[in-house]
Amino acid sequence: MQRTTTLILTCLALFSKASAEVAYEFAPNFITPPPGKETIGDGHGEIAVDSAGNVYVSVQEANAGIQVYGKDGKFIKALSLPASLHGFVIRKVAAGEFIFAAVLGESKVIQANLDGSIVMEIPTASFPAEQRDFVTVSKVKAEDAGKPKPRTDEIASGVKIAETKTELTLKLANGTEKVIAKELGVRAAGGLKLTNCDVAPNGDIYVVDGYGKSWIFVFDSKGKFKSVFGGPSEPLKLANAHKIFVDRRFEPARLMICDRGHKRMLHTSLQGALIGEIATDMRNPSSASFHGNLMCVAEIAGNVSVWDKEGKRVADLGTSPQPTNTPGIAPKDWQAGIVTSPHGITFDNDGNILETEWNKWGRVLRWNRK
Amino acid sequence: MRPSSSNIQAAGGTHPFPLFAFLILLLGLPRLGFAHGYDFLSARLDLLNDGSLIELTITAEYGSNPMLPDITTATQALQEVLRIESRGQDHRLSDLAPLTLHQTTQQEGMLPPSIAHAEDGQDHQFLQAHWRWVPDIAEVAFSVPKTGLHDVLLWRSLPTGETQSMLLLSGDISKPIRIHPQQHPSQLIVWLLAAFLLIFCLVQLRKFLLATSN
Repeated sequence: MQRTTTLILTCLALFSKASAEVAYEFAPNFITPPPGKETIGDGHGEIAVDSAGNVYVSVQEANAGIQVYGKDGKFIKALSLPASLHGFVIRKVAAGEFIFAAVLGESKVIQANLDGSIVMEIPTASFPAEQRDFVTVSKVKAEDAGKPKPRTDEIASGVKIAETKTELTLKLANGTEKVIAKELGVRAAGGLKLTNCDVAPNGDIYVVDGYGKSWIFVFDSKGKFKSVFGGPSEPLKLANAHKIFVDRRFEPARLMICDRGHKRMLHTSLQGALIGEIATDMRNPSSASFHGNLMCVAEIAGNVSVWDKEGKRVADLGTSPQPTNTPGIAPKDWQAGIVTSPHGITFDNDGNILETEWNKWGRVLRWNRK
Repeated sequence: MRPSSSNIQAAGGTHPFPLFAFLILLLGLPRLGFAHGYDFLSARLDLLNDGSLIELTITAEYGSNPMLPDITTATQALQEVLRIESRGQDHRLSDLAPLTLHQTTQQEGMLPPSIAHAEDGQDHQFLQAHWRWVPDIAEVAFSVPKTGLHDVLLWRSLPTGETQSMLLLSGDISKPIRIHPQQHPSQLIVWLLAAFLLIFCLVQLRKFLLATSN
């Protein structure tokens, strides 16, 4: 009896080890660019796969922000969407299958049908003023007045609470108000810089201000603001939280944050409570996707990694021998199977990995699961 | 654990990729209307006075870099972003020589020529730190603290016109850089005395050999 139990346990251990092993092989030249193009075009976005297996890649092209490819990688069409879809996901919700996207250049979120028609929008005005209107006001240095590229001195940072033709009023961190005359050379910069969004099982939409102060906003499925958490201060202390994803491998679902500035990934509850760090000391995690119990991650400084549900790194793909973080590597210098600066990533429906890069010519790589 | 070239099995066509090579390949950064500025700080290294003087020019773009929203964070970053490793110890740059900061909007000399791009018509705000140090050692390396938030592109132009560069992430240490330390006056005296002693010995040896041969 004891021997039988030992045998069964050994078999189970071997089986679980075998099932935990994952291996991929690089699939060269997967994407066929649109007719007349040698590459897909300026990439600073995301890649996703719909339920039919079609591949969607965002590029920075006016009125053609997403290109659609078939399962075979052949170009099908471009969708008439904004040029700055820095982050997007394709999710099935009660009403159907949609693209949810953060429009970086317009500080808004859109929900679109798979044909590109927009069905819902969360405009800038729907975000809370405390984050939306946070600005830094500066003034051109006197000795640089009139120069084409003047240096500036900072005057103050705070939430813009009023503005007239002649004055700007900020609410400062200490609660006081500061009135700044809008004289020549005074300028205000700041505001939201939305980099990604995802959808929770209950339909709530999570949006991150990844190029701003890393705030995470929660809206209901109709686009009504519900709450905000994250940001640069305790307890999460985020820095350049580049993209966020709802991690449905867990019950209840969690939020997975690519805290790129800290080179780490972390989990929070959907309410924003810290669960824990998944990994640290990474090559700047920028995007992620899930399939079964696996998560693949695009690390912009030159790596694609695959992780199991326990947070163990189970594979590395396309690793650049030296760290990189630039969109400027030209096609003639691309090496088969070696990434440059991974920016977006997705599993397809069969567990194969597709990755898009921060690259001004546009590049997509694919690894097939063995 | 961040993957390195030694502990990672890259899937598909791995080729040798020599240190410093990747940036030589670059043609230029794009003019990204919706993107952000440089994600890294640039540190230009110059070896002056026949290699006896190290000059570093570290540049941070702030405002458009999501990690450096304002000049305050840029100032802090420049003061802490790099350390120097010598004789097995790491030092803050400011412990060895002062850092002087100044603002600029000009990009000239900030990046290797191969990746510096033409003016894009957008406003850029840079903060630069200049640092000069006369070392008394033959080899140094630069490191980014483990707790550092910023990546650093360390680069230098060689007399051949080539550019060497590498991106340092938190916890990374550059390859050792050979320098030619200036001789300390006391070292010169020691060398002169040694030379004098050697000549004296040779003269005495010659005298002895002549005497014994006669």
